[in-house]
Amino acid sequence: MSNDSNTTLDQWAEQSDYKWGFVTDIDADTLPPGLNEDVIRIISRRKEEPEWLLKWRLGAFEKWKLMTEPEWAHWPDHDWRPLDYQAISYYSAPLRDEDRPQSLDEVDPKLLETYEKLGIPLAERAALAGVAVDAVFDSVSVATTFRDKLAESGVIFCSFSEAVKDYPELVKKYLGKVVSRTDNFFAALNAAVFTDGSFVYIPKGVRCPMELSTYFRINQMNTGQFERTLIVADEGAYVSYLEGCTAPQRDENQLHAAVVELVALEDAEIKYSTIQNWYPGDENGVGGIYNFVTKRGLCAGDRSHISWTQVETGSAITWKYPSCILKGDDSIGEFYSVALTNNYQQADTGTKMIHVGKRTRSNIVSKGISAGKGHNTYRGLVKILPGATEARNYTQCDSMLMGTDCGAHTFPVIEVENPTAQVEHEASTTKIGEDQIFYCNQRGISSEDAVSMIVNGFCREVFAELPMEFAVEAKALLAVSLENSVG
Amino acid sequence: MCTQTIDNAFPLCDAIEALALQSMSEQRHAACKRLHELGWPTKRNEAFRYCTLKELAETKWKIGPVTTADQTALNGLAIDGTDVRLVFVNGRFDATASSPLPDGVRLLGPMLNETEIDRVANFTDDTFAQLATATTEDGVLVEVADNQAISEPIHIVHLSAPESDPSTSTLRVIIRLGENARACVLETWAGNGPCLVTPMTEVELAEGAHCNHARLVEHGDDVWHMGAIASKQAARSTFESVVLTIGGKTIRTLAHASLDGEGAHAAMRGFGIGDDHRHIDSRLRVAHMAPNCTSREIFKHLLPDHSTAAFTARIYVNEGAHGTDAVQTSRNLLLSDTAKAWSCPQLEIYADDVKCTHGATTGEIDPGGLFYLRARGVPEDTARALLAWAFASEVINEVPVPSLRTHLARRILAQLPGAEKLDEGVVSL
Repeated sequence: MSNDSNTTLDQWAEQSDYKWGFVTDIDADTLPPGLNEDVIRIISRRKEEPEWLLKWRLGAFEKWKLMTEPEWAHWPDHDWRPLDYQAISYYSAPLRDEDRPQSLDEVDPKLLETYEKLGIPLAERAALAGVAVDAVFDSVSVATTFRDKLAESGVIFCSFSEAVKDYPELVKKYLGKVVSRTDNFFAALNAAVFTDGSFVYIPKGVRCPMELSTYFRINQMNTGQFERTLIVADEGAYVSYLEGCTAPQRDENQLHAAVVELVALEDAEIKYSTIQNWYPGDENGVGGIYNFVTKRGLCAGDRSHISWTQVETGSAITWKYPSCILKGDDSIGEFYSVALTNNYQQADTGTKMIHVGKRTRSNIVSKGISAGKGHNTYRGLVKILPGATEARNYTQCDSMLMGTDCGAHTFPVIEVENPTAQVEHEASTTKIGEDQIFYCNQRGISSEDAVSMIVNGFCREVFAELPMEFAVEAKALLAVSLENSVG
Repeated sequence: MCTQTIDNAFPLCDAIEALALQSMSEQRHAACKRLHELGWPTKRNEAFRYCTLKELAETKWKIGPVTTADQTALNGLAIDGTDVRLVFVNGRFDATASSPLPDGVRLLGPMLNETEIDRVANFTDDTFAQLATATTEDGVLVEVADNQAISEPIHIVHLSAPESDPSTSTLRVIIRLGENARACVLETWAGNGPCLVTPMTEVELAEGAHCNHARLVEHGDDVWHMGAIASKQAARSTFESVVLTIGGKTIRTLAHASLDGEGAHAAMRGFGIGDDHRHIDSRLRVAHMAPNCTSREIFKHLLPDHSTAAFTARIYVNEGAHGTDAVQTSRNLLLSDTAKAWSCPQLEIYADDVKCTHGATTGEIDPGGLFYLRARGVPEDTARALLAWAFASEVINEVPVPSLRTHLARRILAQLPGAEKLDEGVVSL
């Protein structure tokens, strides 16, 4: 087993060497692999950033150099080796049109088949596969069209680099306030080298007229694996933000270390939904994305509300804990998650709910599904600080196992420092019963459809939190990801 | 650094080395070496995250002096219906205070036979378990042959009685039951400090064996109790254990159960009452290594003042351990604004046909329940005591030995303010 995995890892390493070499040779706007102060200065200069941001980046880099890659994650079936951070290129311009597939005919047919199953419109399929499509479908222009409409209500929705240029005061005020630049190893790395991301600001009392999404700007996102998202909802504002893509991306990056910061002021509400379907590696666990993301929301004002919903089906390794700091009195934090691991995928995910204010409430619903040799770990923290009088938390973690080689693990931490708090945690582990499958078969439902149906029922509470179109896609995505997992 | 060197405890180190030399035991030498490698743990060590050990690490410990038991102290610790009592003071057997040994029970000492110890316990990363191996002078071996039973409970009392210097002591209890054998062993840990005690109990059960075990911690406020219990079970065996904490400064229990044979059952229960700055720390691991084993863990804490409790438990289900049925529960009742509770109930599962659940709750005394009792004329302190008892009884009522159940209930009630007004009939035993 270990020999096999060594070979595959070596092959994979070879591939990645080739990849980076290739980029360095052809593109003048790509930095050679390696990380040092100069690289950061160059990134900052290319992005025409102000001096304070460069200093901020360099400060993060200083700290990062002193940090070590964390080792505590639970990946029983993955031969994890620390990454070589000097082998990664930290700045790469968007793919030039001539480098992309010129039409759908050139795209991997397997990928197209998946799109077909997901029911994605033809035009979008092209955009998702990274095909150089005509101007109508160019994501930037699409985003711009919507931006005018958003501007009417005063909503700012732009890329992070634009925000730095156009709204420096806002960026300076909130950047790093929730996830500090030295928060953890990957957050510090991101702070040092992030290349772009999204910035959203919803002014006082405004209910964002449409659901915002990074979907439109997917080509831009491909440029860097270190994106940074900052969403600020001012007093009484509301925004629903969707992140991710709805199909496997042909993303060649090994490491995806993003940071997402949310700030909700008094009476504001932020709903953040993610469907993560990065390339998970093949059936033998070769390749795939390492998805190490830091996501945190600050309920800064009284009665503010942050809700995280995630459907995680991709990535070779997922390592993320979308969290809420419930600082304002009566603020609410929610976390709904479905994480599916198949083949050799490993997911270590969960949330942290830090109750600071009075009467703060949090609700955690986590559903983990493991198939093949996949391992799914829920890791969570609920912390009630002494001042969080009458805080309330309810946590439910359910795991479903399909097959004998997979694993489901639950590592919650509950810290209560106020007697009036009520904290409850429940977890259960189940498998799909043969009787259930038999029942469905008898009624003419194939085993595959039966599994999909049962899994969807298992995840219903989470899907109910997703915006309509996302929920439909999430269901289809689960069905695709579970293909061939049940004999 | 996760640890701090133990070199500050010179007298202890010297004594340990002397013991190791004297006994010529490889185990002691190894433990001694490991102890130096490990050092005193600090909060940065994940396994001691919730313990404050600074004071312990700064104390110059010595091995407890040779002395005899204080008779009045002993009388207060007697358990009704238990005639067999073995008394140890500062880790050494006190023959005058003890009853004659029944068949199947023998003493291991003064120098333990190294083939007997650490057969089950494997706490190589735990400073205190290593300290226990390095400093053990006496022990008890309860060995029951196939299809035999020791009908009476065996009560082992350990008293810590330091002179002026802070001292450490330990005692090794080994329970080894043959096929279908039965035994019941009760341990009481009492006495005053300043003291560091490192109890170590090893349980080895053959097929169909049944063991009841209880550990009562009734120390004074200046005793560090850093104990461990290790068990290994063959098919269809049953291990029922309970840890009751009503005394001590920091009480840590490290319990590892390994269900190696098909159909084995382990029940681990714990109940603790906090006081002042007392910290109760329980770290459990139940490993389901074979199919169709069952395990139950329930730990509850009642926390007034500045007291704190930490519960970290893991259910491990090995590949192929199908039909596992495991339940893990942690409940805490916070009685003051400054009390704290930490729970980490963990599941690690590598088999698909299993039933594993865990639950953790923390809160205060239910105001609705309190109002109900107050409305019926029950004084507030009595009402609180009654609700606290109701909370405790879930653990105590599960204890399979009736005399022990009564004893534990009395001990707990004596700790609850207002409980003296409760009629004994109210508390169904």
